[in-house]
Amino acid sequence: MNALEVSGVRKQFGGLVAVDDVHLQVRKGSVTAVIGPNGAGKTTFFNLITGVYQPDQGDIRLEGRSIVGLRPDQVTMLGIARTFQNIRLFADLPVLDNVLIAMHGRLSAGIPGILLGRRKVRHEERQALGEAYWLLEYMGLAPYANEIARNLPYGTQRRLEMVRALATHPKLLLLDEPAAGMSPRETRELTEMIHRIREDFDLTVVLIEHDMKLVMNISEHILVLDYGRPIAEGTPEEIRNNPRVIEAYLGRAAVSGA
Amino acid sequence: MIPQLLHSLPQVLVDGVTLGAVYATVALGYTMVYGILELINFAHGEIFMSGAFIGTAILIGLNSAGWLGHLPKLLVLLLTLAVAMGLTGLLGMGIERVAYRPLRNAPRLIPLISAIGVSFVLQDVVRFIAEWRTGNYIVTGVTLYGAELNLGSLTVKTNTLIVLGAAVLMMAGLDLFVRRTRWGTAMRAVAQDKDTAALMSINVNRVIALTFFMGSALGGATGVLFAQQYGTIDPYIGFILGLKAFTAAVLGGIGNIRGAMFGGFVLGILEMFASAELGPLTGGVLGAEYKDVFAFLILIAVLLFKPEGLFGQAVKEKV
Amino acid sequence: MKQGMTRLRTRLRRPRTQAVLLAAYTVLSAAGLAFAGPPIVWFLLLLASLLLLYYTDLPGAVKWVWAGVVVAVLLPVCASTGSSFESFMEVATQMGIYVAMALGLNVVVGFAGLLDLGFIAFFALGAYTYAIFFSDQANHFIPGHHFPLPADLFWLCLPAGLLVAALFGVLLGLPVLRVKGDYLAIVTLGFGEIIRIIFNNLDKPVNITNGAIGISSVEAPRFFGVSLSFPHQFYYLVLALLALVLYAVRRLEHSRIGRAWKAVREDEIAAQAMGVPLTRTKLVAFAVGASFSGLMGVVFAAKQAFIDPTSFTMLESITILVMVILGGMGSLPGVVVGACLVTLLNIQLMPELTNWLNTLTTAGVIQFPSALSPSKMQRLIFGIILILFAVFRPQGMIPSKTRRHDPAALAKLAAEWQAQTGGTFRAGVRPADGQDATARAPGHGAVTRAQGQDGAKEGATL
Ligand SMILES: Nc1ncnc2c1ncn2[C@@H]1O[C@H](COP(=O)(O)OP(=O)(O)OP(=O)(O)O)[C@@H](O)[C@H]1O
Ligand SMILES: [Mg+2]
Repeated sequence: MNALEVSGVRKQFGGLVAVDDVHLQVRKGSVTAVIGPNGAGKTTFFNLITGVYQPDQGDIRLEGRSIVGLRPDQVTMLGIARTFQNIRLFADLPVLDNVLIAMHGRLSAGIPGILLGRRKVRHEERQALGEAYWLLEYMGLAPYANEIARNLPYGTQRRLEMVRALATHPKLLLLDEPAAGMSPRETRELTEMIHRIREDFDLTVVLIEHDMKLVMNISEHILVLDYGRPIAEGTPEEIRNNPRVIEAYLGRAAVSGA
Repeated sequence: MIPQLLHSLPQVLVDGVTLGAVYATVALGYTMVYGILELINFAHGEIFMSGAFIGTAILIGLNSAGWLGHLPKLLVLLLTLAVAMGLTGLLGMGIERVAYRPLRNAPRLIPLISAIGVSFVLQDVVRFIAEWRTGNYIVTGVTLYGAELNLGSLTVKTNTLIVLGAAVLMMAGLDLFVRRTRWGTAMRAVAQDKDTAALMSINVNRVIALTFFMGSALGGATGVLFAQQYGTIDPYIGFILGLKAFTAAVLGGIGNIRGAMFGGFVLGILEMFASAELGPLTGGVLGAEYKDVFAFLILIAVLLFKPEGLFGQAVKEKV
Repeated sequence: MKQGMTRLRTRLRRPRTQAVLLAAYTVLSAAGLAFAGPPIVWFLLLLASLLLLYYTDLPGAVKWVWAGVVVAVLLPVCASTGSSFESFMEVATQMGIYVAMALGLNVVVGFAGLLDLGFIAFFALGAYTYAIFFSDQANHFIPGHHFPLPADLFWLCLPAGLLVAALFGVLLGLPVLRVKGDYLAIVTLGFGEIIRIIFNNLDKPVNITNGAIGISSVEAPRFFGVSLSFPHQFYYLVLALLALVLYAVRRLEHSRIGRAWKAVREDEIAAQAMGVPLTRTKLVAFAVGASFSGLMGVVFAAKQAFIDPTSFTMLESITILVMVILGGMGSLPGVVVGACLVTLLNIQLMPELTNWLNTLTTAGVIQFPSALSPSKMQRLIFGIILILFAVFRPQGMIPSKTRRHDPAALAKLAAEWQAQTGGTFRAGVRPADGQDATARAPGHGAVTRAQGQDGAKEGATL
């Protein structure tokens, strides 16, 4: 079964059609890349999937179930997590709290339970702390647990965004330019990291990326957008040799370089 | 009941349009600042109030110096308006410089708090001066055009015509300025996108200062006209009036200059209608004292059902 | 010399030394309050001891007990020697009421980042709830002479006031919290005025609030047969409620709900993306904040025995906002201190200063225009505080501290979690038994299984 099926979505802002009749089938467990020049509508595409914007047309299905019309938090609870292109951590909160917040929907404590200090609530809280720290350890961020998020180095913030996304227990992980601003070494580590979390957490990954080397290395399937329209789709090999893509976006040098 | 309604309708309309003109010109200040900074300038109501006091002070001063009888009324009015506009304009610029500019990158809550602070300071400073000079902070000024025209059941003060005339002139002037001049274009550019405007070598700070100057000057002038129209003023008139003018701005689509004008008139007429007819219509259950409640309900309804206002564009935060 | 300083500093860091010093200070100021004048100064010094207490490194439980002893025993006992005992208790009671309200507003503004400028409306709702039913006012619209209700039912009215306020919080919040953040400020500002206008006019068609005249001869509450009429009795009542409020706020802050509030404050879009429902979270903040205010409103009405709409103006709403901003948004000690300071300024310092200036003026020493009298300058002072703090110190006098977790304890919890959920790997460490790395380790999957999904697959792998 496909993890995600997007059929014919379209989104218009005023006179600008940011996403136009895009289809995509994402196989469960795969890594798919969405690429395209700046302003092609990639982030908007993610925003449509996650419920930040509602599509004007088309349908989006997660494991067969339509998620159009749901709020972003509902979409998240169904199993889609994301990171943001322009990092959106809870900047003034400690790293640990950033992760705990992402568990909100899975915890159940209500006001009476919290005020009365019920055992169930305390237990749940300990579990949450344990899991949050465990995830931080997993991504090598444990030493920062008590740090305020805004004080972390840039690359670390990006990793924290991934931890936070994982803490929602997603089935589908959307990464919006995860390698932006990273050094080549960090990018290599990131590639490995994506592979690792996909295996360890049984994830399907869709990522937006401008770094062609990363894209070609990691993805099984690539969707190319230009001015909101899908102009090509296929394996890295096919995309690499697709003249339309080369013309619209990659440029010869980038293709031969990759 | 219906005949009675029809009978009082012309008066309601005239009073409503007059009040609407006041709301509309004050709403311009809110809308201009919001359009550029996305900030609710809480102090704008107080700038309007300061304008009312400055105008009243000038007229009282001229009167006690004995000059008022000797100068042509229109000259006095224009002079008063000019001085009040200049001073309130500078006041607005000063406020922006001191209380808002340092906070441009702060979390959104913070400039709002400083705006409330400015609003309180202005209220008290004006109260202090008024009370100190006149012994009472409620001040009754000198009315220049006090005559009343009686047209059947309709009573119109000559000053009403002045208010309407001046308001229309100011609005038309602003509209022309924003659409036709270089500075107006710069203003619109900054409202669209500050960073890009800066890249196009527009001096963003100066444009913002100018916006505050113009919005505040319009508010101040409206204050003068308001004092002329309604006679008695106090330092707290800016609060509720500001709230309503803001409602007008939201109604018309915040950031939209023509929308704010339209919203002002709509709100003014609705409010006058409510205050004249709410009693008769509800058999005396709800009276004119609920007219403010009415305006507020409009605000909530607009925010709920058409948050972009009548003429605004729906914007969604870019993610 | 330098060495001496260092040694002193190390000493001062020891909790035992701190405790001794603080005890000495507390006893001294308490003795001053009991035996020396002027009492207001000693009173302030004694209160300051609580602030010092906050900064010591004593264990949390010790701090709470200590503070409890100071406010519940030391303060009333020492103040009782003077002639102005009851007026002191009155001031302290007022402070307590405002502290509780500021803590409520802090939930809304400080934690959830929602600027509520009509907060006093909820206080009014609580106050009118008590005043209407515990005077003969309710007889005007409920037939049969059932009112005033028996004063023993006072304690039932406390949760009633709380619930009424919370209910209105939700009713207002439902439409309003969906609008964009900064509109909220203006809508709540309007709401505060509307509630006041309604209370001011609800003497017709049915006389519910007695309009502008207000409701007088409100019953004094009774507690186990004791009628509360002296300020010191109310002081203990307020103290008890305040303790509850503080407890509740602290509990909530470090819970799932408190974290969601802060997430919404920091970034609404990210919060939603992490599964936090926006409107619901904001509504809860609104209702919780309102409920504290409503609760204190009941006490206020009971204490005053008279209420009218003039106690619930916008100025009051802003006063509470000033307390929160001055103290520090989101910081409990900050908000407590801010509320105490502003209350003192309002009901003690400014009137006294005014009196003093008036005496000087009547004595002909100075010419002081009454327009400038300090008790009329609240707005100016509050306005300046708001501007200065917004521009120069938005985090307030005592910025909020984040709770630090002990990494060792966390590591232990993490290990427990891993053991419980059946995880077999740590970051970077592959399964040691030579299994192929691609044979997926069940760490995360196990959690998913606990959720009732993917169970069969997981079991097969195991
Ligand atoms: N909320 C919005 N309102 C109006 N226009 C928008 C909005 N969000 C996106 N757009 C426009 O839609 C187009 C696509 O934007 P989008 O962010 O999806 O591009 P992108 O492919 O992610 O680009 P980049 O590589 O620069 O991140 C752009 O022209 C953008 O300005
Ligand atoms: Mg993008």
